[in-house]
Amino acid sequence: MTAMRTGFEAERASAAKRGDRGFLAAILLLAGVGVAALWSASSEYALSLGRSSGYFALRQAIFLLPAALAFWACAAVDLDALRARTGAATLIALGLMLLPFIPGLGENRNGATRWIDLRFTTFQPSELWKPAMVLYLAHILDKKRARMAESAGVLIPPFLLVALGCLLVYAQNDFSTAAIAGLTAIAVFWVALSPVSFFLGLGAAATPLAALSVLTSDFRLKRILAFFFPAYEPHGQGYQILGSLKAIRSGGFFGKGFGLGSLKRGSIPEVQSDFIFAAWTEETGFIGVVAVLSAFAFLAWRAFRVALAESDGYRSYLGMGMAFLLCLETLVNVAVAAGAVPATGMALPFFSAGGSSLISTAISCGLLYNLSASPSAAVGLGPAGEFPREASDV
Amino acid sequence: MGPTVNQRKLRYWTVFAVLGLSALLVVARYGYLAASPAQPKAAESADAERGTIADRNGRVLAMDSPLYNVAVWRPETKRAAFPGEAARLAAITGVSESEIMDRWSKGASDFFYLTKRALPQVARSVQEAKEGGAFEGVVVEKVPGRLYPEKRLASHLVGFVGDGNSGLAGMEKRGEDELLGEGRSLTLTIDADVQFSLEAIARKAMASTGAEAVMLLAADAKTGEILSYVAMPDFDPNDYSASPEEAWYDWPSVYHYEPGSVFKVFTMASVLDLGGADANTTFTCDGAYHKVTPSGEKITIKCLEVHGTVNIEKILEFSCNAGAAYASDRVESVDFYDRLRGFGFGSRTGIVVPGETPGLLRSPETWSLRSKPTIGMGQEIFVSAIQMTAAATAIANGGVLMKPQVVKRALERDGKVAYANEPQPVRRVVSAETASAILAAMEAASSEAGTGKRAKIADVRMAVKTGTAQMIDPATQRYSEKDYIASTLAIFPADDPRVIVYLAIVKPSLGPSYYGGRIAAPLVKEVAEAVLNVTGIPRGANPTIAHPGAVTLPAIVPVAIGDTMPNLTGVPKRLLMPLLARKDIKVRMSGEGYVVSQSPAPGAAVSVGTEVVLEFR
Repeated sequence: MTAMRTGFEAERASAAKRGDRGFLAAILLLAGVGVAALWSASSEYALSLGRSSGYFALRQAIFLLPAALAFWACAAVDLDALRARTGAATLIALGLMLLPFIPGLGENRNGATRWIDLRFTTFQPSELWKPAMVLYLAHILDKKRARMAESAGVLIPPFLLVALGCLLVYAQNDFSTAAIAGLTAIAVFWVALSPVSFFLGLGAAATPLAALSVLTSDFRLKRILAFFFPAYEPHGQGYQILGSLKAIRSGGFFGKGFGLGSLKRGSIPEVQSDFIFAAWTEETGFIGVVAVLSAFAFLAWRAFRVALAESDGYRSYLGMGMAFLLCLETLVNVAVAAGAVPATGMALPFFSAGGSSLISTAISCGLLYNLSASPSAAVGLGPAGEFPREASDV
Repeated sequence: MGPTVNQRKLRYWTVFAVLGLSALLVVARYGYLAASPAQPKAAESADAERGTIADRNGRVLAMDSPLYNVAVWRPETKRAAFPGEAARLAAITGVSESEIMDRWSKGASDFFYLTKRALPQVARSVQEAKEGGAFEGVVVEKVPGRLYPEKRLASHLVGFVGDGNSGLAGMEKRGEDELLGEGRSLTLTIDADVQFSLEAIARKAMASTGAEAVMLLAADAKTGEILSYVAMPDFDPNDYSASPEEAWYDWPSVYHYEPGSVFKVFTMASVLDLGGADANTTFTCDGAYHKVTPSGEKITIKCLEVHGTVNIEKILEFSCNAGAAYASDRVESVDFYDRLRGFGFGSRTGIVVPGETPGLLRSPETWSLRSKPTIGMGQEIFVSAIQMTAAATAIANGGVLMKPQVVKRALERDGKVAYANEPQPVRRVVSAETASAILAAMEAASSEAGTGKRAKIADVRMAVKTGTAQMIDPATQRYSEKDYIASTLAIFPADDPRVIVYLAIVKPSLGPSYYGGRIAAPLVKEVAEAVLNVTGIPRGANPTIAHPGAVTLPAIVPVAIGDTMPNLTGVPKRLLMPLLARKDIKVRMSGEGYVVSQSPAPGAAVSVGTEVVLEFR
């Protein structure tokens, strides 16, 4: 249908391209529900800090402005022009991640050095690395598409660059973000038809490394132990999970009613960030879980549909990567709250308090919206079943 | 469509499939959680009230008492004001001023705790300062707290509560559903006064013997109620983390060990009841037990002395190993095993403490030819102190085993009785005659010649059995030459058993002896004295009058005056007050107390209009 645009519409689209309206609606819905959920979950905590009940929700609403700007910019940008600046974007993202290590600039919070102090707020550069990495991989894997079939060796340089980025995230003691970025990278490598031998080698190398990284970090081992034996350490990490599970159970199928949850009052530390979904579930029940996850699923389905139909390799990988990133972040956060995977400091897109996560989400969504407006999406795979050799406008 | 298209589609769809499957699993997990029982205790536990725990007389052993966390929310503090207030904040919270300033100026977190679980006066001081305009950014949080007013008293039985209001040990853990879920209060069977006295004795025993642990239990012989439950080392549940975790170990119920000679009580009761021997059956102890197996193997078990000719009574009086071993040969292994199971060995007593051990009594098909005589002497069998105490109820109680109980009753939130535990007979193990014969033999053990003479009290008949068990050295898997458990079981008064006391001292390392008769028996005497003093059980030479607790006064029978005047001398005035209501005679009274003089004199005629004058003093 996008191919049937009149000239006038196409002209207007070039400023802010007209993409998938369903996708846009889902984003607006999730952003609205997210701020409301945050307001309910954090009000007691804000009051206990001597703030007004809407303190965190208001902060979040203020962050919605730069997030909207980021979304609009990413939705409007010319993807080919963006692709041309892939190198610069990647280097900037990598460079930003060095900042937290600079004394005086980096801020250590809860045992992790992942924020930089911007005076008026703090920023977490690893949030920016995730979309930047997807942009880079989409570009490089499309470029090497032909050659990788001949030798998996051409994939080693991009792999090393991605690994460097993930290691920098890991060095900020942010294992979860590093893992999410790593898994997203693997997904993009996968859809870009990387040879199976590449994944076999990756698996052989990664297993001992992963085990080592868990065992060498006392803090991480404790989290994993607390996952298997939550009651063993009821004042530490297990305490968050136990509180979260209690909240989810007490919500039942229909919830206690919006704003009526009681467990958010102190029994789940950091409820406004990593465990906001537990508070949401307590208040809205299983129905609320299904509703929010359905909205996410709708979002993901629209995004994947675009990526699958895209005839251009770069755009397809980009869509796939961004959609995968959003899905993974959501699933991991929601699974952590339900005690299904070990606790991690992972934000829930649209819901968790924090500007960095919101802006990262806005960038991913903006690019996906941009793709949905792309004319090449309608064409689908070429008659030969392959993407055209050169990235081009159809 | 070429193969590449299919391959590409396959790659995309595998990603969708993995994500979709994961999403389904997560949704299923939420559905499962939503459908799982609402768990009122879990849902409300964070701020719910726990019921109190009290002793049998209502003395509170554990109660809720809110505590307070004091924290700083840095963005709210004033750069100009806070440094000036730090000294005052330090004085209130007990955190040093330099630490407060350090964390405020260069701490990693915007939100940090100064003190957790502080007492209400700390919170009050902070609040007052805040009302006066000071301490901006200082936050006070109320958290549920648990107070143990009697501190270490019965710490293992009462247990303790961790952060997040979850019971981690003792009744606090085992009774969590009731205490927290239903808000019930529990009344225990223990008597705080008895407990206090016995803990002092056990603590003294720890110090004087250098033991690794001491277990000391007292039970009501008739009902099986535990009156005192002592484990040493102990801890203060108000600050349980200050004690090493070993101090939390609930020795009497969780630890199992070979009991040694005290066990002969149950061996002899079994043999006697099975008809393997009677009071006249004798055995010859030449300093050891000898047996030649059909295969020609010679089995020898040493005795401490040459006891000569012994019967069942003498075996228990002298603690004769050879006699006990020979006696055990007179019954079938299976029957012997069944009786020991009947006493409760090899199974949990069901006492309400977490992690109770069933002990270890191997089934007879795995026994060697040595096993029966060895078990008869209390080795090759593992028991817990609570099992020993429970088994003794069968001896004290005419042959009927009682279930040991620690909870007397539970009260609902509104004070109504939720339930009261009645004494629970478990089963008849031996006949009443057997039980009384064993009691008599145990009483002989407290005679001047017996091994338990040091437990004897002058005015109360004591039935006693001592024991000194070798312990297996975990390093060599052989019996150690230096590690012993010295123990004593006492039932008193022997003629009408009221109380069972069991004391076990694990690995005594100081002092002149490690024998139960030497170090445990004298302590049991002290225990018995303490229990007798607190419970008011009648004593021979110095009888305590059993008082029912209420004074019954005779009903007031008004004195009647008929045709003749009765002798009223000594009659209290209050009995005569109804006379004032009489219209037919005039009664004048003077003074208070009892009648000292009267007119008319006794026996004189009384008619209408007669004036009666009574003088009281």
